[in-house]
Amino acid sequence: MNRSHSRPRQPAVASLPAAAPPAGSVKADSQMFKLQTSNMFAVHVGKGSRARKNDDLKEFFETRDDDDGEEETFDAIDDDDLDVSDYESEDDADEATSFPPMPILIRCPLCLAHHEKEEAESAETPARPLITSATELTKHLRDAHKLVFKNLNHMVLLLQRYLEAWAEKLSTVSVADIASKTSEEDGTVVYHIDAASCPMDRAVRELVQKANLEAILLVQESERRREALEPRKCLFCKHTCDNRSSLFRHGYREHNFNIGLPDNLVNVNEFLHILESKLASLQCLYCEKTFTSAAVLRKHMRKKKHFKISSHNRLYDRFYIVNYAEPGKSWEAIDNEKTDSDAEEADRKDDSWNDWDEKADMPAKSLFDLHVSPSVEECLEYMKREYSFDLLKVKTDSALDFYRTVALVNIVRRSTAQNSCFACAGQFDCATDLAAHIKQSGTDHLQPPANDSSVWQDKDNLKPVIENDPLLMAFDDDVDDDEGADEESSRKRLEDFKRTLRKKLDQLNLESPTSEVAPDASAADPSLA
Amino acid sequence: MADSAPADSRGGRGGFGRGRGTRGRGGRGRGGRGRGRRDEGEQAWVPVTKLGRLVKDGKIKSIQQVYLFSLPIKEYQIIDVFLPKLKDEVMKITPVQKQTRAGQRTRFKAFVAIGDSDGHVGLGVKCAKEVATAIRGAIILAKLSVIPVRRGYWGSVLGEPHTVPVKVTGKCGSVVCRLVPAPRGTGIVAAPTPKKFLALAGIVDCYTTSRGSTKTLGNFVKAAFIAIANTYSFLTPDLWAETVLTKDPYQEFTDFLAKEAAKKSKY
Repeated sequence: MNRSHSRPRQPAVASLPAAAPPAGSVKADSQMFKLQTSNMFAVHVGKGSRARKNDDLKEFFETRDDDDGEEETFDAIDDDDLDVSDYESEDDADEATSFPPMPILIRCPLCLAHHEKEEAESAETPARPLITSATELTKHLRDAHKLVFKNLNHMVLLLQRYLEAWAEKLSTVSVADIASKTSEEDGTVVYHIDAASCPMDRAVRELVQKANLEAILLVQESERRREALEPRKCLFCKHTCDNRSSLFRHGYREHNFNIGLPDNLVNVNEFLHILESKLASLQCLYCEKTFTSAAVLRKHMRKKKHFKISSHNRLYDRFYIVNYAEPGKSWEAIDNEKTDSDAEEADRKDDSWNDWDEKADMPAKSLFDLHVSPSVEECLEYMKREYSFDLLKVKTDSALDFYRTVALVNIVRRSTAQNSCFACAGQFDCATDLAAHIKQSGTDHLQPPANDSSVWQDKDNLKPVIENDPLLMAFDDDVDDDEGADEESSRKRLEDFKRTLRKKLDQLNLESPTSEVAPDASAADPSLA
Repeated sequence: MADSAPADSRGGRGGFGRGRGTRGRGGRGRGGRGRGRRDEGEQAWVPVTKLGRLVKDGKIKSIQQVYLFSLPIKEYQIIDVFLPKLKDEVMKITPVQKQTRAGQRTRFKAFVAIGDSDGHVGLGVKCAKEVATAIRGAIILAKLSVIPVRRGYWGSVLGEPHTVPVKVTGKCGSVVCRLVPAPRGTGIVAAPTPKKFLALAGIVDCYTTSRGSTKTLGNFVKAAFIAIANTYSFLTPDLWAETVLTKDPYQEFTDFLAKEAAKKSKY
């Protein structure tokens, strides 16, 4: 069928130069050169001809179209001239499918554990091999440690942690207990660890994955606060964008380039760097083909609309957060999963704030020395223990209100900073002397200033000496407790009262069947009604 | 520009979903599904609620009117119209796991606080499968929960209000958070996360006290939000003056709304 198209053209060979491609400026020499190649169709079949519109011939033309011959400055391209949509193939056929194996960089932790046990005496550190590919790793695990992990590629994003966790586990448990043994042909014994059959493996995987996910979210958070605000030059043009979100927006609007929302990505700078280096080495991001010059690459990407990355390339997996969420499942599977589980989504109302579980404990510095306790309660305990200074007790004993307690804390901190005792204004030479004095003085000495002292009027004492001083958040006014607590405690008291009365009533009824006591009791408490 | 997709490319805009037309497949970039950008100049807002219609047509001049009559705000674009300078801040993204028949399912929960550092704050939580979706949903919920913050003075009535007017408390879960007025120059004395939140509200000086398991920062922040919301529900003597009752917007513009409804039902 192809031949039938070519035959009528044959006689027209002589008039070839007349049938030159529409965009002009093709030198005669290159024309002549083309004649001698078997690729005759680049010259013959015009862009708008019906042959090009034929679906069956799409592939045929693609392989034969010699793009390099056409010289067009990329600014001169006009979309009307370049009616590419008709003969362009479906993107998936263009997409690159075979990639160089994903590089991994890992030092086998199992080797270290091994060597530590055996060569504890030897001073020299054993040389742990640096493994750079997945095949190498599996081979090494099999040869050196007699271990084969099933589905190791699921863990490829957190290989280091996974193997480290296993190294720890194996130092306590022996392999034979948990793995299934098989013998290879050459007589060696190999242990298989499989998540489906070995619960320890499942536990290890879950643990490692959770830790890794949280770590990566922290990385993303720090990125969002710092890196995302830095300006960066666009991958395809000379425009510099102020911050990451405007960079992505520019890429989408001007170049139709989409690698996802910046909120779904992590280590974005690295990601963009990889893409930039690919472009610099004149490789197309989507079909991974190499070209001869930047202009040609550009034209190819524009014609084929390859301003995107190939979704099958596992190299980019580690930049997307969705891959860390459930390792082992490709993002395509998760994507498809989304549609059905959205329907059975019963817990849409999951706006509980309990899930945000984070240690809000702030380290607190003691009032009299440099000791820092991890939390406020511990700090109060410490001061009670070491210096017999119970802040809360002092507060209630001297009936200090909130503001006065704040002032007291600030006064003490200021005096301590100047190595003087706040109660007796005695000056000491150094912090240890002051600490000794405080210890000796005892509770009676460490009293806040008198009620009518002018110190309380000084507004400066209300400004915290240490910023975000946790000790200032530790106490509360007992007087105006919030009504909720009051209500609850008074209700409880009421219930208790009712209970004891009822018990007494029952007792009385048992002792004497006459009910003369009962009405008195009920009259005594009108709230019983 | 020559690079961008031709506007009439077969199969839809932006070149996505070409060919097969399935959601997100066929020629998408990674994560493109979540990207359904409507070309950034967001399509015009078509209000669905009465309040939305009034706001869009400029019948309501300020958000104070909405707050005065406690009208529920169901569309976040209303807030965008009145408070264009809102700044959002993602406080935390946590993974939440749920056990299903097919193993575990992880989703991401985003906690977002929004505020203009001048008297308006909001808090939003959203759980979704992709981080970006969760953040976007949480921002919308935060906008819908925007609340006015009443600020006052500690001592002398000089300059701009800078602290909470009275001691207010808020409770969420087991955490009780209390805000106490502070003199000028104190700054916000609080843990880092509530401090950021109070700064978004426009409070310059404040003491905070907390009880309960403040380890759950989520409850702590929500308690602070409730405490802030209570600043306007506290009746202080300067609010004793009698106010003149005005018509609420629905009543005032009832003719306008009826016209709109008639126009729509003409089809």
